[in-house]
This record gives sequence, C-alpha cells and structure tokens, in this order.
Amino acid sequence: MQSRRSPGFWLLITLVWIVVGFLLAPMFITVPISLTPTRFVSMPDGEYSLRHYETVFTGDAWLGPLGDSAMVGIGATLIATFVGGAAAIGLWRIGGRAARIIGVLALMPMIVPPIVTALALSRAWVTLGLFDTVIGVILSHAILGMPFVFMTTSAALEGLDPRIVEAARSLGAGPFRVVRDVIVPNVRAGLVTGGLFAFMISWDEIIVTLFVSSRSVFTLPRKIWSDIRDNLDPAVAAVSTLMIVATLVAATLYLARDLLRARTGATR
Amino acid sequence: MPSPADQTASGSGAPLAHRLGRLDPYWWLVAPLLIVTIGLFLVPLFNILLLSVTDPEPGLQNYERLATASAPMRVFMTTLRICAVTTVIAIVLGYCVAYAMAHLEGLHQRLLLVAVLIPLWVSVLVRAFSWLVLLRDQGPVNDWLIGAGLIDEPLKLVRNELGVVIGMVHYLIPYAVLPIYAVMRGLDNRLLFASRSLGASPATTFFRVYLPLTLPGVFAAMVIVFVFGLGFYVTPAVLGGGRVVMLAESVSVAILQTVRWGYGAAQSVVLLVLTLILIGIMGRTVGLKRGFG
Amino acid sequence: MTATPAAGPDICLTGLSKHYGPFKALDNVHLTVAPGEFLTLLGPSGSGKSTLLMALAGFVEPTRGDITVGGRSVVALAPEKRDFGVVFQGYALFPHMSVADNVGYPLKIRRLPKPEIAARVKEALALVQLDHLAKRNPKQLSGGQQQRVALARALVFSPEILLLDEPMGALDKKLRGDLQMELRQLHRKLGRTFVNVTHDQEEAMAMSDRIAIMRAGRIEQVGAPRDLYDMPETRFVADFLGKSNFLEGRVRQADAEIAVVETADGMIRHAQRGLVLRAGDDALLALRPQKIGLGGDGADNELPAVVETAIFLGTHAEITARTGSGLVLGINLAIDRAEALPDEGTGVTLTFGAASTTAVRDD
Repeated sequence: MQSRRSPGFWLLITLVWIVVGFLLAPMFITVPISLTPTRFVSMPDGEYSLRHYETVFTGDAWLGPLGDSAMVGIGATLIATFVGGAAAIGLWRIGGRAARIIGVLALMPMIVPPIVTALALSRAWVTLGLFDTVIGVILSHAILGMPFVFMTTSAALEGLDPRIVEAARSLGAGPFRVVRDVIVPNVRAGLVTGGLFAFMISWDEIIVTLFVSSRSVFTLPRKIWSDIRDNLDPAVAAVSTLMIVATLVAATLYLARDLLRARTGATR
Repeated sequence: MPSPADQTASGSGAPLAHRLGRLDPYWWLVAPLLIVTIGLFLVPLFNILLLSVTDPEPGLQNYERLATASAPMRVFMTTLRICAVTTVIAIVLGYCVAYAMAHLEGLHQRLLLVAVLIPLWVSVLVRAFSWLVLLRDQGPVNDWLIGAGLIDEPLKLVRNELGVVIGMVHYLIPYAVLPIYAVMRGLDNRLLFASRSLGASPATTFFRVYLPLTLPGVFAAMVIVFVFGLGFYVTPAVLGGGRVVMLAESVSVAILQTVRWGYGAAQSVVLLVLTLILIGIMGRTVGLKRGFG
Repeated sequence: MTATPAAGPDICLTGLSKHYGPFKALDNVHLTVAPGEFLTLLGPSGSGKSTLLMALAGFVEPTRGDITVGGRSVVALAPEKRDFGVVFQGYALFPHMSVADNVGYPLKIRRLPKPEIAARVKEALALVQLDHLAKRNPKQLSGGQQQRVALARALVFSPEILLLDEPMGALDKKLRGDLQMELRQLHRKLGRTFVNVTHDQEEAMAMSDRIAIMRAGRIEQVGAPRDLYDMPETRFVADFLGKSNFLEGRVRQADAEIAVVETADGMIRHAQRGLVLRAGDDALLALRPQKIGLGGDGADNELPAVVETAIFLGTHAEITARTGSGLVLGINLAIDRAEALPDEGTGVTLTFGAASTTAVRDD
C-alpha cells in the first residue's frame, strides 16, 4: 500500500475522476440535447427550446406509455414486495436447510439472463392467456423484482433478534400477528428499499416486456426502444432528462434523509 | 462454542416445525413465492429446455446446428470476445475506483460513492441513447476531436464493437466496483502495516499482501460482470447498429424475426447453462451473498 | 397485582426428552414445580436448562414426554396459548415500541379497553419502579432498566407462571446482586410460580426455594439450596455448587452410624448419612474446604500434609496442602484462625470430623 499523500496515490485519484467523468458523461449530454430547438438530435447552438418537452407532455405518444409504465411499475412493486418480503420473513422463521435451498431458488429470476426469462415467460403467457395483458406484464416484472425485495428484507432480518418474535408469542400474539406487529415494523427499511429496487427494475425493463406484450401494453422503455431504432428523436432526450432528474431528486432526498438522521442522532 | 442445545434454546431461528405433525404456519408466508417461482418461472424455463429438443421436431438438431454452423459460432465467439474485453477493462478501472473509495475519507469518498451509484439508477436505454448521440460521426466527441485538429475524418466510434464495448464498460463498472469495495472495506489494515513494518516496500506490500487479499472481491466482480455481459441485449443492439450480434440478440432474432422457437430456445439453454455454471463456481468459492454484495 | 397467597397450578414434567439427531438436549426429565415456588434450573452451558425452559414456554417441541400445568397437558398448545410470562435472555424488548407500548402489548392482544391498559401498564411499571421512563425507547435504557421492563411486560397480564431465561446474564456483578434481591421480593409479593434458568450458582442460591441441577440433558439433583449444598448426591453436584475436595477409597467396615474408608492416606471415619456405605463398597467422600482445620485437637480424622500455598484474602485464608499420597486439598480458614498462617512448605496436620464428609456417587 502506498502512503496516502504519495504522488502515485494522487495519480490514481486523477484516473479515478476521469473514470467518474466517463460514468457521468451520458447524463451531461442528454440535458442539452433535450433543449435543442431543432427537430433532429443536435447540440443547441446558443438557442434553447422546450418544444421537445411539449411533445412529451401533449398527446398520447408519450403520456400513454408513461401511464402504462406507472401502472405496471406500481402493480409489479406491490406484488414483488408482498411475495418477496413474506417469503423472506417466513424463511427467516423456518430456518435450516430447506430455507437455504429456497433462498437460492428465490434468487433465480435475478440470475437467469433476461432474454431467457423473456423467452420462457412469452411461451407461458401465451398458454395462460396473459400475453399482451396488463396483468401479464405486471406479473413478469414482479417476478424480476422479487429477488431484490427478498435480498434486502433478508438482510434487514439478519440484524433482528429472533427472540423478540418468541417474546411476542409468549405475550399472546399468534404467528401471523407477530409478523404484523413485530417483524414488519422492524424490517420496514429493507422492504422499502427492496420495493424501490423492484420499481426501478420494472420502470427500466425492456427485454422481457418486448416478449410478453405487443400493442395493448406499451411501456415507456418500449416507446424509447422503438424510437431509438427508428430515428433519433430529441424527445427521447427530453424523457431521459426527466428520468435522470427524477433519479437525482430521489437520490438527493435519500441522502438528505440520511444526513438529517445522522444529525438528529448526534444531538441525542 | 455453544452446544446445539443452547443454540435452539436461544432461538436463533428456532424451528417451530412440525408441531404435532402439522406444518410450521410460517410456510404460508413462503407459499406465494414458491408458487410464483416454480409455477410461473421454473416450469416455463423447463418448457424452453423441452422446446429446444422438440421444435420443430424431436431430436438434437437445434444443438447440432449450433455446434456446426458458422453463423451461431460467430455469434458465440463475438459474445465471448466482447465479454472478455469488457470484463478486463471494467475490472481494472473498477479496482482503481474501489481502491480510491476505500482509502479516501469524508466528503471526497462519499462523492465518489454517489458518482458510482448514480449511473445504476439511470435507464439502460437512456444510457445507450446517450452514447449513441455522443459517439456518432456528427456527435460531440468527433466534433471536438476535429475541432481540436487531432483528426480530419470522424472516427468510427459507434455502430461497431468499439461502441458496444464502451457502452457495456460504462454499464458494468459500478457492478465491478461494489464487490471489490466491499472486500477492501472489510480488510484489516493492520496486516498492511505489519507487512510494511517487516520491511516490505509499498509495491511488494501491494502485490504480495493487498492484491491477494482482495482477490475474492475481484473474482466475484469478474463473474458478475461477465455473466451480466453474456446476457446483454439492449446495449449491443443499439450501439452495435445491427453489425454486432451477441447471444441475447441472436435469440431474439430467432424468435421475433425468423420465428424458429426451437433454435432460439437451444441458444437460450446454452446461455443459461453457461451463466449457471459461472454463478455456481462463484457460489462455491466466494459465496452467493458476498458476490452480490 | 396485590400480594396473594401461594396458589395456582403445579407444573409436572414427565419423561421429557428432546433429541436433535443423536444429540440428547433433554434426556428423560422428571420434575414437579409446586404452586408459588421459585425454582431455578442450574447447570453449565449445554446442560439443557435453557432447552427445558423453552420446552415449557412452547418454543421447543419435546421428542417424548409430557408437560402438564394444573393437570392439563400443554405440549399441544402453541406458545401464545400457554399464558406464561417469559423474560428472555437479552430481554427481547421490541425496539420499535416505547417502554409503555412494550408493557401494554400483551394487554392490547387481549383486547382490553384502552383506559384499563393504561392503568395496568402504569401499575406494572410502578411495580418495577420505572413509571418515570414510560415514554422512553428501550434502546435508551440501561441493562438493569431493560430487565425491569421485560419483567413488567411478562407480569402485566397476570400469568400464573413466570419463566426467566438467564435474567441477569447481561448485567454486571454489582447490579446483579441488587436485582436478585428485588426479584426475590417480587416473588414473595406476587406469590406466583417462578422458573428461572442460570449458570450462576450464587444467583441460584440467593433467590431460589429449590434448585434443580442439570447436566447433559438430565436433572442431577433437586432440592432446597441448603440441602443441595450440605447433602450433594453426586460428585458433579458437590463440585458445581461450591467447591469440594474428594477422597477416594474402599469401605473397610461399616455400621449404621460410622463407615471406615481406607484411602491412600490412611483410614477415614465417615458418619453415615444420605448415601449408605457398606463394607467392601468403593467410596467417594466429598469434603468442603471450610470443614478442614489445621492442627490436631482430637478430631475424628487427621491427615498429615505439606502446605503448598497460603493466601490471605481478608475475610478468610485459602490454603492448599499436599498429603503423603500426593492428593492436593483446598482449605478455607476463617479469619480468626488464620492469624497464624502457616508458611509454605511447612508440615501440618489436617483435621476434620466424621460428620464433615458426604458420601457421593462418582460419575
């Protein structure tokens, strides 16, 4: 290990910030493109316009997919959080070999390459009559989100004293009442984080969506996908900018909450 | 070491199983996941396996074609080549970022962490779109290079393998950083001081002590990055401009364009088996949990 | 929660076993706990005492055997149906609830009206002198305060039986002493049955009406603390509850009152009580360190020995001495007799009465 202040270390830091620049570059480019006054993708030349945002917010071309994505995202998040969270809690209580094996099983949708999942669900949904239905898309996104809720909830449970469950039962609470009164309030952070993951996965999902829907369900990524393939439309940049801004706002709120909590904790 | 008796008594997940022959009620909480995962995921997955040996007719001809024809072999080699190059670049850069993160403090470190995490939250499509715009012939990068007088003709940066690699490295760096960073944070710094105090030079200490100690993280990161790369679909499709066909896109073409389900299914099975083997190796050596950070 | 005379159901364990594969955490345990009794399960870690308590509470399902409370079998009852108060190791307070909510939880489950819950929570917290901390979060309390909250929570719904799993385990020694006294007073006041688990013999002696000493899944001996101390039946009990010296030998002659045991250091006269020795038996005699004196003044037994160490400890002195056969004995001398502490290396005569030894079973 090199001592902290050696020139070698600062050279490394410089390289690292170049990498960070590379990581953030796409975000810096979409913002100006979304403000271009021209009809085609270009860097604005001293002149800015909000016309592409107008395009996004008027008419069904973008608002339709936006609505579909929101509906699918919320539905998938709810299912993934309930199913994944409940299983994590159940397996935590059951424990042992069976729980470990099922734990690996629960992670499978995260491990299997999306294109393979897409193929499998596409066939199955046709058989079950779920192809190109809202329920079908919600279910497939929920399956993809479940492992994340399962992981974050399991992690939260690891820090929980199992004796508080036994304490609650000795005080008269039945096995499911314990879940509601004692376990869920103590792993809420894990459930919320997992739910957030599940929503982001659904919001961003394209591969499986391409295979389980065609026309009646048309999510935002699907709309972007078809636009990128056809021609480069600055409206895509406008939507991208909106999504980046939403992400940054969420991240800032998250960090601010953390910071706030640290500060109130410190004054205690 | 507590005896088994004490362990159960203290109730670390004490099983209430099989109370008088009845099932532990907590299985009800697991049931929905089991039903969904098995009924709506594993069974359909198994169907794909079945499809690969029954469509268009029973037999192994789909696999035979994969093994003998030149087109699928080319796709396979392209996929492996791009994944290998991408993994090496992402791991090297990721190691540097992780090292900096692990050895900086305060605001500097937190900024770096946020900068690494933010791209994870930006849509893969948005990123592909941005790189397409950035790297195309009339894009800002070429404009800037020409403006600076470094080149006369625009460089071919996109709609080829280079574009795909750039896009994939960009996507995968955060996934390389996180597991390595996790291992570096867990290291006992006293080991390094011990090595230095025994007279080892900084370089020796790094290569003989630090690097070997962080290898589990590097290995986990390599598997994750490589496996992710194998399944990549959006980035090659957008940034390869149809000229760079990787395994996932080849599957998609077989299904959506040529409608040969059996052939697409066989390619999926190859992709799936490769993935499961790699993940399995990681699970055995590093542990699934640590691997996924 | 006012003082009540000892009443309520008795607890009966018959042939209780719990096996984990080949490992027997509980091995054919028989035990009866009388109404209003304070019984402590005492044993080293891994002896099965916690498993026994958790079987009582309903968290460990016995492989064999029965548990009855007031004549009614409870093994088929889920923990929440047993109505036992339980104080867990580490207290297991709900971290997301205030102290008052923790204590009120069992009443909330029993659907008591809100004003009554408030009143009984207040009463229970007053009982453990914590009424001023009702609004605090458990994490803001000290270990001793947490223990009292756990106690109040386990008592607030007036269970007939209170189970305590190492209630003092997480506390420092000084605090432990105070809380032991409080717990004992609380038991006297409430008149309910307490079953306590500990590995601390002092705690067991200080609080219990009776102690059950456990070892390897079995109950080795049950009795009042004094009886266990004075009349241990086995080598394990004699050594676990206070220290003992052991003299091995063979019984040369025996009648109803005196047995003469031949040991490597000569004949020892042993007054018969408890385990009866017969001529020709192998005998193991336990001898408490404080029952041995120095110097011969016509005692029943005299053993020549050489002092190895002699340590003055204020209240008493601790001496170790080696006999001719090489046996090392520990001796506690009360302070008044320790004034002339023998030098290390000097020869002494160890004396003890025939009634000082206890015949125990070897194991």
